Amino acid sequence: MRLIKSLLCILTLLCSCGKENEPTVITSSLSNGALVLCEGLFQQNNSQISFISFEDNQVENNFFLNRNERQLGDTGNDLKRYGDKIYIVVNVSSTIEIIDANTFESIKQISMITGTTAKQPRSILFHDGLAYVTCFDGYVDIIDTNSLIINDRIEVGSNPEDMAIANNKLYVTNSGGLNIPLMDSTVSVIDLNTHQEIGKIIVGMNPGTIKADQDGDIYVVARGNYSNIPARMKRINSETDIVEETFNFDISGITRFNNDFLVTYYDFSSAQNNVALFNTTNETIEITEFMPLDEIQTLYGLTYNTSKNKIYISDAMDYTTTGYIREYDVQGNYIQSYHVGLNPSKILFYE
Amino acid sequence: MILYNLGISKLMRWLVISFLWIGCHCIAQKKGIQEINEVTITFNLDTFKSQNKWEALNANEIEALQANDAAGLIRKFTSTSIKSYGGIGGLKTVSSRGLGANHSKILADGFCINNTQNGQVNLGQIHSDNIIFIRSNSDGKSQFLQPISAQVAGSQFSLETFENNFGNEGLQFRLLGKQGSFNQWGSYGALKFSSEKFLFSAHGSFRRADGNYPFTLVNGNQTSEETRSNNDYLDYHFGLTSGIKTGKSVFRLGYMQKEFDQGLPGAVILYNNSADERITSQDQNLFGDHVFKGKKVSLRSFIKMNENNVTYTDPNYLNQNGGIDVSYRNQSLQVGIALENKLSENLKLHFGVEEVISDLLVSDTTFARPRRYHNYAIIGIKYHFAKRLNLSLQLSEQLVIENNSAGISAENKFKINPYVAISTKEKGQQFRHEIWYRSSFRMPTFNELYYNNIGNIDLKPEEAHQVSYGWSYSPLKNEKFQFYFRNNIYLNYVNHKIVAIPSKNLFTWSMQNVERANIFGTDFKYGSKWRPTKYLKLNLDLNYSLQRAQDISAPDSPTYNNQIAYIPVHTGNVDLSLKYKNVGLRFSNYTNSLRYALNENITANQVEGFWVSTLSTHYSVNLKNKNNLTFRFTIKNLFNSQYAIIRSFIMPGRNYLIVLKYAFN
Repeated sequence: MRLIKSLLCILTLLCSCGKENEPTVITSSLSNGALVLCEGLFQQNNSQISFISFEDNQVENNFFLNRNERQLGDTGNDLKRYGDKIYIVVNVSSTIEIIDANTFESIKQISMITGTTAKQPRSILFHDGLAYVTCFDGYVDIIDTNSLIINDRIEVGSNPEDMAIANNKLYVTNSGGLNIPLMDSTVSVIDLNTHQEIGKIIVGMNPGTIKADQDGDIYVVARGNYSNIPARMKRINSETDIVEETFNFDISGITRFNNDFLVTYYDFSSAQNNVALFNTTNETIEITEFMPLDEIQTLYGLTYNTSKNKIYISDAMDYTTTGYIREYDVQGNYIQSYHVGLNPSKILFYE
Repeated sequence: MILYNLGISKLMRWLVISFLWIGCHCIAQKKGIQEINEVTITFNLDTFKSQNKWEALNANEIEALQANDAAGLIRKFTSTSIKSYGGIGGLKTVSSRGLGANHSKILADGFCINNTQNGQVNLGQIHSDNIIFIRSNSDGKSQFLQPISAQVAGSQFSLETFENNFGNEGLQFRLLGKQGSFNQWGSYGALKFSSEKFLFSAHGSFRRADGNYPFTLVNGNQTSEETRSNNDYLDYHFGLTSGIKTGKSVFRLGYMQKEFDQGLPGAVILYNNSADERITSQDQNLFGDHVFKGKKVSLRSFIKMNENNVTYTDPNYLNQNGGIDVSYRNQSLQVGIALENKLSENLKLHFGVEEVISDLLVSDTTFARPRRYHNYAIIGIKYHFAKRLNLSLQLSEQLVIENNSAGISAENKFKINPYVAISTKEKGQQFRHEIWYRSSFRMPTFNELYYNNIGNIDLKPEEAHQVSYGWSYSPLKNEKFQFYFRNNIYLNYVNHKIVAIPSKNLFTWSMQNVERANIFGTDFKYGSKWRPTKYLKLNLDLNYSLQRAQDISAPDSPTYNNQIAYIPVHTGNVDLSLKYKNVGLRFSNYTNSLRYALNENITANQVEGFWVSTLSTHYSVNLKNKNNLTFRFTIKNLFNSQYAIIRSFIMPGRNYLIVLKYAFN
């Protein structure tokens, strides 16, 4: 019996010891920092927000949980501020979390489920007091930012992803990503006055990121099929809604950088990701290797902050280990890293 | 049904195998003339006697455990970890000694259960009501009459069913009915006849459950009571086996069919309860073997044909077809021969060959059309020397030919693997020692090689090297009290571990051979039987396993030296049973320490450890003329622990099961 008892004791002791827990940081002042949306991984319910304080370089993980006593959910896809509210789009949980931009307390959780179908929201964009949300079931939902009620739905193409606005028109990329290998290749054009789809522009397979420049041109990335059809950036003239130009490099993302773009692309000759400076005025690449990416394992997002005049790269590491935000100056010199959660993507800055 | 269109080169190989088969049988028949042993197809079912050598559960223990399925039995073995997604019929797989589940072979009645598409056997779909014996062979010992493909695997678990084990018992009959929580119903019936000349059995069973169970959802500091839905389950099994016995030979031929229809509750996703996925499947098996046991030569030849049809539907998948409806047809043909020849008093030679052909047809036309020809051969000796030592030496060969008729095929593979073991064997000894080394590998599955966008035809086989030392102590028998103690220490190394990693972005995952792992493990097992009075019996079994499975892929990786996801460092079992006359009580506990959902060992990835206990009582009446009636009442998860084995797949809380069983002979 003594043997049994001692074995049980050992078992109990061993069961309770794990790795030491990481210290929890709770930030008191929320200025001079950035909220980082960490997507987490599918079916892990571990999407979360990290707050980076540029004051003391501390990172507070589980920012949403710490203030709302509940988790964000599964696979957060977008994070944006409009007025005094922050909107978080959570894809697999199918929710829009709306929190107060000052207290960070939840104002409302909008469930994006109709009947038994989860609409799977992907991204959000604001215009004239309305929030437009792409939903993977083939619609753009319109939320009134005052009443926080879904007013209307506009039918678009298959699995809409990203949006941009130019000339009072909303451009929506229809990825058709869930129809792989026969994906969609269109951009839906919606009149922002009538909320009607007025046309579809064929841009190439699997459209993803879309951005407007200050001249009213629309740039969209057709991501191809990830094998024999390469990813290409296209330029749409928003006056005519015609694709005017195709840029022949394997591009993955577009970020606004003052009046120009920083574009991330895959360089087959060196087999690595690069960042290039794209001049939107003369519509050419000005610098092919804008910054060295030696610190980056997996470039998962790029954000430029105007007031700090710095570039922040989201590094997703191997997608299954926690990521980093890497800070660079505008000359592309590496400054430092902040250790955040799993699969960091979108960043929202606080002055 | 199962029709294979073999090419000429394959035909040649078949001819060679056929000649071997005929040759071996001729030798066996010839040698058999002077021999007189009676043959029965049963394995050593008295577990206690041999527990110091291997791990097993016998019919009484299996009945007392009242497991939902084979996974509930296998988790009782040391150094195993079960991955369970919950629910009746839900996906459950076993990995042994820190190797992945694909290294484990599951055998039923001496035949392998194969699935080349995903390489894993769902233990949740293997009923336990008909199992009369189950054994873990992960200790490196192989039973030479088993299929060669199982003998060369990293680990094996073999189970024996009532309906396919024949002794000389004459007519036997079993009938069982059960009812449990979540509107669960089940029944099993079998009729078996075995005489000196013939054997015959017929059996059938079914299980159904609404399956929806309540659970407590913990979300940050909030908790809520929720229900796991879309968890309904229905299955039917039936089969026939017949055979003849002639002197030293037994021929068996059997057919078995299984049908499944189940909802998949999926992961518990916060704020999103929608779950509409379903799987229906049909599994047909035709199997036969011939066992010859002579004084010097023992021989088994076997054949099994399997066809497995699976349909998966997800009506809410947001594609343009308005959902997913895809079906998969897996076929396999397995044929082989195993032979043991006693060359002298101290020297035995064993030899075997086997061919497994498997293919896959998917309704989604973009998928590959793969077929695999997997050839196994084994040769080895067992030498008893210095009056107390046993030496086993074995070499195995595997040749894998891949053929994808709808695209590029993966490369063919050829490998040779050794096995060496030295053990002590002395009559009446109390201590036993054994040390062995085995190298083995598991092939990438069809999904890993060919699955749209994810598959990678350049994958290498995942290799495992195992070194193990074990000792056991079982003192001389005492009428009232018996016990044994066993301990194993092992060191495993896994190379070219196959993992799914995102390649260019999170959308494009691909299978790669990137990881390496070191596994250090040890396990302890104590078993005892106490009989203080004539009518009172007390059994106590305890085991504890430590598995330190570390990722050693890259020293600069954040997961270097971290415990590999979902392998618990500590697992343990406590089983206490008490029997007084015809009343019995059993308490059984199963424990896992915390695990990590991903390889990075941080708080955010922790999945809490758990204790789950089962309390079961039974009352048994022996009626006239070998008729027996048993009533059982079982409370599972006695302390209503809310736990998950896989993150987001929450397991059922406390639930009940009532079983009534009638047995004749």
